[in-house]
Amino acid sequence: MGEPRPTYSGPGRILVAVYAVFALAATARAGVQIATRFDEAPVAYLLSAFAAVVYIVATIALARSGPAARRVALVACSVELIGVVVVGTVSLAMPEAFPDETVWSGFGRGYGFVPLVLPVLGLLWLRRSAGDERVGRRLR
Amino acid sequence: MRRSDRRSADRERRYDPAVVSALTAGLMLLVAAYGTAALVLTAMGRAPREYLVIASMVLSALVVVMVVIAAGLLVAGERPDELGTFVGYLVVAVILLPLGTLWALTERSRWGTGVLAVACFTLLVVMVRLQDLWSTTGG
Repeated sequence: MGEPRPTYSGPGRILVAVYAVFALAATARAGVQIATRFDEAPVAYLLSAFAAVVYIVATIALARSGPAARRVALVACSVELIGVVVVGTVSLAMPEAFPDETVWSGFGRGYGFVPLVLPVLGLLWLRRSAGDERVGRRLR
Repeated sequence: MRRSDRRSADRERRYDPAVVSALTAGLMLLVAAYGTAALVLTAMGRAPREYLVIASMVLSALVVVMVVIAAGLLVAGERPDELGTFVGYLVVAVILLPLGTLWALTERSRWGTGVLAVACFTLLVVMVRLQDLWSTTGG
């Protein structure tokens, strides 16, 4: 107990798999949007590309072990959570700001709200897998 | 599947869309059944067993057959909506289960079985998207 375990073990296995799917989906979506109709909604498409990068970084960081990968994963999941909440709110409050959908529009409703749940699960898992005692002390 | 598809096929006579739709629907049922089984086994706490891996390989082979048929129809001149996206989905459909199975096998616990379920349901979404893009062809 108290020892950190790799973030890709146990339930983390599924987390990495789902992150990989979203890295792929977001990258493909942003790629198609930017390649075929960038002029229509540059801000939305750049956001799509940014989301794709965040998913790729999170996937790789969660699939590796060690304190450095853990820190990178923590930053990526946090950015992802902030991103989905901010973009979700803005896309609902000012729809005209997003003429086309991104992964994070409407809190990820185009993807069954998985983009909203995923960073929360990621952060919880990062905390849990870090070894309860150590994290408990650091947080206090 | 759709009447408009049938009509356009009768006009062109390249292939029978009803047969292709039926084969695809059958494969989707198999994938859904496998994914559901994997989900149940995950809930029961079972690690991935040999028979699950063999079934995954059989499904992967059937997906390859489906993709080869689709590729053949593309070469024959069929054009779905957004050709680039369609081809991308075909590639993803082929690699999803094999990659998922590899990722599942290195985790000998219930979570490995869970990865198989995730791979299956993702494959199902990809197949539905392929169907969507295909069925809007030449209607």
